[in-house]
Amino acid sequence: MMKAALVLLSLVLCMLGGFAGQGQPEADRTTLRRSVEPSPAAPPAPRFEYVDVYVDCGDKPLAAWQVELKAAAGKASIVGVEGGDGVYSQAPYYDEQALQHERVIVGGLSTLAPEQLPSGRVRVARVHVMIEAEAEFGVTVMAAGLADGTRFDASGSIERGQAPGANK
Amino acid sequence: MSEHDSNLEPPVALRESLVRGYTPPTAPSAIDAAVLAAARRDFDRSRRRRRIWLTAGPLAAAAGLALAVFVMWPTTPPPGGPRAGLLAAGSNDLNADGAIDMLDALTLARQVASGRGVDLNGDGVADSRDVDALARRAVRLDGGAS
Amino acid sequence: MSDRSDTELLFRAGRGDAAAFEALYMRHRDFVHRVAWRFCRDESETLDVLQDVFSGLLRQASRIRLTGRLTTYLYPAIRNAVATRRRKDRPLKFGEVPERLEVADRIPENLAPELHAALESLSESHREALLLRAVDGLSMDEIGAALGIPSGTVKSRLHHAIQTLRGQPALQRLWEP
Repeated sequence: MMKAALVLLSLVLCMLGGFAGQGQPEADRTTLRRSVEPSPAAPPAPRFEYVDVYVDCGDKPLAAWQVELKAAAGKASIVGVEGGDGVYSQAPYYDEQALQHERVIVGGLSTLAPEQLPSGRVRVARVHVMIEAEAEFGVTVMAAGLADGTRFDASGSIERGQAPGANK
Repeated sequence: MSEHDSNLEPPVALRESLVRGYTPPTAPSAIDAAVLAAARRDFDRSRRRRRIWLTAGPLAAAAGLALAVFVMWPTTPPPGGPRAGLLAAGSNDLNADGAIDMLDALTLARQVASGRGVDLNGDGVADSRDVDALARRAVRLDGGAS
Repeated sequence: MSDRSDTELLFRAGRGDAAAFEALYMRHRDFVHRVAWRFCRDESETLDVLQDVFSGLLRQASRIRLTGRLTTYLYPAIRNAVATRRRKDRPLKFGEVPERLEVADRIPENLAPELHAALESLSESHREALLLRAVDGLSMDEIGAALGIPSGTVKSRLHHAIQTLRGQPALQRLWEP
């Protein structure tokens, strides 16, 4: 009984420490006025970009896809995920645990007839990222499939952009 | 039916009439001041709370860790013990290719569309919610291990 | 701040950046005010709803996962805020089961009578799609996200609304070049 109480107490103390660790950097904890005009001593503000994710499926109609997007840890973090173009313009599936981390798996599918599905280089998603230090992104196509569920090889690519007004 | 189909685009004159009619009276500037002042108060309160946590947190964490090591060390179970809560990896691998990914979700979506399918979420029906559940599992960062 | 995306501003606001919240407020205040005014009985209620919506946004900023423009989150939030106020205005009697409160829009009296009558002849869902497109300038996908319906359904509703209005002889002038 005593031991259980001690375990519980240590867990509570660890959690308190964990919460404290989530405190944000000093640069973000500014008042309204100060954040409009940051002090010269403040660390450089993070930059926000988007990464457009493409799946190149050649002449095959893309009915399902899944890609992994990764950046070097500590340099960039994911802050939002949007859809791509056409059939895949709706928000794709992704794990919300990826938000504020450097890696995300994104996927989508469509049950439309093959002739209505896109082929070629398809923009499947736009991932918004916060860049804290110069970061390279890597994309891997984990799965691409035809309407009948047949898997095929496809390549992935990205295009980075800085259009802050894009989704105003 | 494309987005720029003329049947979907209200003509300019209609648009202008609607915008004129549906524009409310100008809001008093006091409303901006009220909303923004409330926001600033809220941010200030959060900042004060965080400052307390930042001071007390590391001490609490260190004490907690020390206590945890002291209490847990002699009775830590040996590695390789049972790991409860893991789902059978094959249970959602509908196309039996050894992986759970969007192709399984597509397989299920097609089955559901044709009135068949597997009730994965246990709500008694096989529908788009099961497809969503499987797709969400496929994109999990931990590989859908729990 | 004014050139930042909604996603970025929301992320910053969620981390305690008051300037980011202020930028979001200034960007979307008119939209929230205009939409709330459609559903509220008077200006006083409209302004209450406007405050409710932004105070809700402030509370939830760190939890909202934005997948499009903020307007797609704000539209249902406004309707919910109006419904919540109405519910508070009408306390439940003992033993009464709360019903799902539908929030009806109102057609402004200052519209030309023939346009007013034509809008009245539309169902609320058709009118809603038309207004989100014509007055608020949302895209099909954004309307779909705001209403929680596929964009194909949005197109169908919009098509129906425009065709109905176009069929009214009194409104023909609106289609003349």
